[in-house]
Amino acid sequence: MKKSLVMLCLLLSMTDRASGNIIIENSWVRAAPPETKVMAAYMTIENHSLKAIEMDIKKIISKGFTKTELHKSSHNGMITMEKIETLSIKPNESLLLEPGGLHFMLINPETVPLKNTAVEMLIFFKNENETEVVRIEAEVRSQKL
Amino acid sequence: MILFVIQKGPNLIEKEAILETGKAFKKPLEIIDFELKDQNDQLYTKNNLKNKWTILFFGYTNCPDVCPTTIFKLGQIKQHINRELPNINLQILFITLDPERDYTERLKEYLGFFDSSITGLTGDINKIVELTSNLSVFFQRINKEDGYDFSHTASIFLINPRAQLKASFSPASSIDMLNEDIKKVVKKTN
Ligand SMILES: [Cu+2]
Repeated sequence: MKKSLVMLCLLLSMTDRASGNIIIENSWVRAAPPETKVMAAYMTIENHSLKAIEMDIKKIISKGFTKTELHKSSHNGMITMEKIETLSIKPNESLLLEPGGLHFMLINPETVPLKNTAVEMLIFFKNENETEVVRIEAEVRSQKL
Repeated sequence: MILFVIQKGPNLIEKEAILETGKAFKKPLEIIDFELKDQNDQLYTKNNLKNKWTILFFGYTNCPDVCPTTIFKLGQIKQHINRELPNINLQILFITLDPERDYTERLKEYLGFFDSSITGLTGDINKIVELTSNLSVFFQRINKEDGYDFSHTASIFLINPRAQLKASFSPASSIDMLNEDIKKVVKKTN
């Protein structure tokens, strides 16, 4: 009983913007045709705390997708896309996920979400003694506004 | 499957217009004969490159980040060139490196969603490899837990109305810079 109450409080504290030290803004998912197997999500992640914070990449959830990964594309001569395993954000720094660079890769949608709907994502962070979850609703759209 | 492609590139020594975003070839490279299919299942050959300018790029539809970004950029560039040089006939051509998954219907769905004015080509992998070798495009399949990706040469190519490779550009360049360089090459040739 106590445990579920704690859980409920935790869930209630997950607001769209700040659930504490991390603020996520301008999140969006690139719209894609119905047969698509992978989609990309972009956003700005700001660390407003006085400590570096690590993204808990393995825990990240995108509702309606079987898996979420953090990727980095680069195109210096060759276009490549690599999976990022660890990432930390320094105090008062922000991290930009944008087309052609860092992005969340949303893998295997149950059904491909339509334009102007939103994908709910839970993004987990941690430092030595705290964890933080930020819940966002990333809008599905064609291109950065 | 790893594909290593022997590079037999255009002559880079003879440069022409000085470009910010790539290079133009004084002596354009002849493109080999090829036979592929477009997204409407129609035969597409070297002849289809004639009497128009073509911006060509390679990719695959299971690429969620860079490919749609390039498609968006090239769409903007096409609009700009059509406005500034209305007498130029310019097409955008996308050739898949992944014909196994990108059969014609898939290409049609994908391009129809992002930009139906783009012509997409698919076909026999060996024929695609002949063309990539001709253009010094290198690509490699990277297997993942769930499926596979490709890493590949990033260049965007400009083909002249005689079906010859006239210039190549880096897709990382800004839309404005690419616009200027493409116009420079087209104006100088026409
Ligand atoms: Cu990715």
